[in-house]
Amino acid sequence: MPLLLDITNCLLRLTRDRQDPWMMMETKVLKNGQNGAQGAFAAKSISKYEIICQEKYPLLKVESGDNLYSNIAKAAAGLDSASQDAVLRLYHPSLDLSSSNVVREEMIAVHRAKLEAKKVLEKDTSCTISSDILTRLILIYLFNAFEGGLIYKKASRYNHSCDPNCIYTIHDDTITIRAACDIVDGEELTISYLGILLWSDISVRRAKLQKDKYFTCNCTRCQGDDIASAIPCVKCHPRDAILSEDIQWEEVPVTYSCIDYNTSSCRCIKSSTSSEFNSILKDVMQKVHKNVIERISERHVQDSSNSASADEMDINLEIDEQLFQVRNGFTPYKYTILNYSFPSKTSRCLFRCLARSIGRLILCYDL
Amino acid sequence: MDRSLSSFNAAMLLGQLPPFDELAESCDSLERLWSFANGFNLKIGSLPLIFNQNLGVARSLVALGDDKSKKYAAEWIGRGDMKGHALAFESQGMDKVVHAIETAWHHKTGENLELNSANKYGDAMEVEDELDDLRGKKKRVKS
Repeated sequence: MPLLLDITNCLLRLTRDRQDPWMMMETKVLKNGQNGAQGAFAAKSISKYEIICQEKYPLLKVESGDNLYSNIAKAAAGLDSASQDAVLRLYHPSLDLSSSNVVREEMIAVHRAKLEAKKVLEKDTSCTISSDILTRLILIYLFNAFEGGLIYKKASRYNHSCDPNCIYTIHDDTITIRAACDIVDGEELTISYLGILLWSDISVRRAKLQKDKYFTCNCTRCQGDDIASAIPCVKCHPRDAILSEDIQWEEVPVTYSCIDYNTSSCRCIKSSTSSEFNSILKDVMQKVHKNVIERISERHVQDSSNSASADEMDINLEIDEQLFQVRNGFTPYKYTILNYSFPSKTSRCLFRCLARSIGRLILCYDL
Repeated sequence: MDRSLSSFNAAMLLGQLPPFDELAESCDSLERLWSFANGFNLKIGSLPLIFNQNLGVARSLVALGDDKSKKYAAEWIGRGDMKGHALAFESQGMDKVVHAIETAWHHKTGENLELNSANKYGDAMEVEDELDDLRGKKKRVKS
């Protein structure tokens, strides 16, 4: 009996060695936190930069644009039955919202997909796809598509992590996934769905994933602290604003967000919990708003007293509050996005000075 | 920083040198960016975030022409595994650009073209032309 087991193990190993250096497995912690979905795992040790997966042809390519959902229907209509089956096997939540396993984000996605499918079928009467299938296809697109609307048979199975071990590149519809570090046998292979926002803090990352991919990430990085979850000060955080010498050393009463600015070596506030971080952020934002408004009003008076016309000196200050849903525990968190248009150079520079102290908020603008 | 690097590139295309003070500011920003990105301790490292900026600063330094600047550029290129990263994740030919910048200080000013074209990697400018051609082809195909 042990001999038989040994032979079986040898055969399994040989089979594994001949295949891709990865395998699909049922995962416990998964894409969208759902049990039963699949993820990719290393079937052997993988060295840095090794190609793990390469797919030349996507299963489905959907053109983006105003008619995205109609385009999904059109793209799916052009598939043969085998390809359509392969697409439908990709991860998507159940359409049955009464199921206890469906999480809140997935419920939103299902609701949205049903509405959009209904709209498409009402608009395009010649569409031969049934409502259920179209809803599933929309969900598959929402959950699995890469940029450019590309859905792949294998690559779309890779889960997200905020500390990924693989990087994908897409050239001419060919996706290549390579190891970004040495990976041990059995480790889950993960990629980032965030692009450059991978280097942002947990609130931004979470908001982006909830908005675009309909899940809340619970990876190890999201459960701990990282440098991006600290409010930066001007000394230790990269800034894009380069101020001219006279403005840079101008005496502007800016309160840096770093309370340890004079003493700490790291010069950052590090939050131990997200609620603590949010409360600090709120304080800073309120302080900055007040300062901005006060200082700009002062500048406005000074500028107006000079020779320029009133129109030129008119500061178009618009504070536009937008509700940006960061669903921490499904409670919307209110972010304030500031839209300013400064005709005056000094006012603009002043704003830059203040923006430097809240650099992290600028990341939110791109969402 | 991206804006500065774009303006440096534009200046270099016109045969001008990048402004020294802005280049120094960019080096300073890049240094902080490296320390910021390294602070994450991510498995994928810092290069996916910084590669383009690092390369941009190094190219601008090489454009200054003097040996010290070229050596300084090679130091920036030596940070992280730029070559490996370029080969694995960047567009075709980028590794040659990295190599050309890294080895620029070996060659005396004025000999760059000859020596670079003689080595196995060729000249960085040639690579850029190829990349431009590729982009042009893509655009033509799309149109």
